[in-house]
Amino acid sequence: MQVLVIDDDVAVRQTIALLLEDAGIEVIQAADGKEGFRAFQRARPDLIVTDIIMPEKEGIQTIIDIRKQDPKLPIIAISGGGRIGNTDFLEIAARLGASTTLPKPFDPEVLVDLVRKLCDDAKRAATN
Amino acid sequence: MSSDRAGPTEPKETVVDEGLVDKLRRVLWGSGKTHEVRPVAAPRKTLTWKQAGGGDADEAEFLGQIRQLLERTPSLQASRVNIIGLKRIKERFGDAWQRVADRADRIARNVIERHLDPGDIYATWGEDTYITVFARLSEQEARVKCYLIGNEIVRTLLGDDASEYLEVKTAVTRVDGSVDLKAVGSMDQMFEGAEVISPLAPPELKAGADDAPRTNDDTGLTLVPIERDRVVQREADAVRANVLAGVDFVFRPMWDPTRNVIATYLCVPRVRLSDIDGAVGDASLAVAGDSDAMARLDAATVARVKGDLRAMAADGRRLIIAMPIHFETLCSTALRRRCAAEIGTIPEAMKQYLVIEVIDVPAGVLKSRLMEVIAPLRLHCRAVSLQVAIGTIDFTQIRGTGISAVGAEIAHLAKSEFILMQQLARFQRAAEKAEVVTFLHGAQTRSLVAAAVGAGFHYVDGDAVAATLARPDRIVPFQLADLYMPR
Repeated sequence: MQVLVIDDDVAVRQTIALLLEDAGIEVIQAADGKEGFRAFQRARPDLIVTDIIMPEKEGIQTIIDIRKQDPKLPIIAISGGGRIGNTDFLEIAARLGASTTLPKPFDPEVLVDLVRKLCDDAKRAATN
Repeated sequence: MSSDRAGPTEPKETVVDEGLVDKLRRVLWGSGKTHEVRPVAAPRKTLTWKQAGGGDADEAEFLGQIRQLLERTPSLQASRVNIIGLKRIKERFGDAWQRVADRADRIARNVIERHLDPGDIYATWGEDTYITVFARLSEQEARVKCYLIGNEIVRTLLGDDASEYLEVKTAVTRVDGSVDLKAVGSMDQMFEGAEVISPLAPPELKAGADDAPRTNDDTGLTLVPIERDRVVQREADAVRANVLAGVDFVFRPMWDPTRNVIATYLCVPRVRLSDIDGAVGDASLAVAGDSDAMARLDAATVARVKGDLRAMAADGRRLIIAMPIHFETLCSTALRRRCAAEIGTIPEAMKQYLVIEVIDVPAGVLKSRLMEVIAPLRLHCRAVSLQVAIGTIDFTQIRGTGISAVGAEIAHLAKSEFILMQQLARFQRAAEKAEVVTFLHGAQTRSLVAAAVGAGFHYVDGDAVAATLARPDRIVPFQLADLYMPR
């Protein structure tokens, strides 16, 4: 299982990577949406974890672009931006293509469980 | 737009000039004195340094060192070295100077740096003396430019009735080789010599039959012997013709992400670039450094917005218009009064739909100065906001001044999105501490819009939100999802 983690915050990105690697999941990393989209095209990972607010290409646009090429790929959108007035980045991300969302900060176990579950669901869907 | 504005800003990139800078530094401060290298904003090639310890400079030593500089740099003419002094301003402040010295220094640096071109340098001597060397200007041009810079510093600090505190000197070499400083205290002194080079003067002026042109060996510019008033008038005409003839206005829809609506439109003056067919530029950039053109542009902006508010009153549209006015224009008592009087003629019922956005506010401007500048405008509008540099990280001066919002324009900044996003977050945090609303102009990408909204900015505009319009349109619902809709 290979997961692409896209986040401009090095600390967050590496923490997520370590967490997933400890759970036996192979991880590739990208520092922004543009780099992430290129990594997606190159590596075709099993799942993507992406932040929303990032330079160059932010997360929602990245999700939209990836969805155009792969409508079924599991994508988890994470964000610390949360709710600003009536504006909720994660809600929009879900509406525009994220499989599920996770507001920062989150419980590490929740993320690992979510990654496993979404990958399993995707595999099952592919075999059916 | 200028670089530093209202409050301390973060360190900028270092751009080091070669040759003359090193020589000047070695000569002025080489013998056992430590100095501090201070970077200034790109793209200008400039470098500044400061005499350690500050305090009053010893004039004889100072002159001796300028003399050494001139001796070691044959290509440098004495009169290209100009000095701007804040000593009289310091005396005017008296004991209060210690409290305002840092801010006065920031303002002076900000003004000087804004007027420097690639190759120019400046240095500080003590805590109140600034030395400028313009690489590509003739003596006369350097003197004129230095005078205008000094004038802007004094106006920013004390207002336009304070020209008596202006202290500009030019270095002159005596017959015996010694160096002296000659005061340039008035327009007459500034134009002494009656040989004026005018890069702004129209071509017909340079080719005038009565004014046999000669070439200046140093600059390659054409020297035109002509009386002062004609030159001043022609320069003003040239600037007006170049800058203001082609001005038009567009309106940028400002998105309020907390209310999911566009109900505010920023008036943006633009200038047609005569040499590129169909191209337009930011008129505020075109007039930068020219107070007269700036004031004319502001007057044109007020007239336009007034017309739009009247039209709104007539057709029932209820929108808010943000109107930019240069801080420098408002620093002039006469222009400020004229501006306030003009705005005062807006129908009472429509004043609640006007926000005055004061732009190009220098870094560290005094609270009392801000209040003085803003008070006459407050009566005639819904709110007054300040447009400052995105690197500004302290808004403590704004508290209690009647300013309700601060923001920045980022469209023209050559910075990576990563850096800009960090600055957006810091800017917003500082504004929150001062309890003021924030706005961001010129967000050109969705990433920057998302970062601004995520940071907590209250208004965001730019191409990524919506295209500019010929007139303020109507109230438009606009949600985050709309940012991603195909256009």
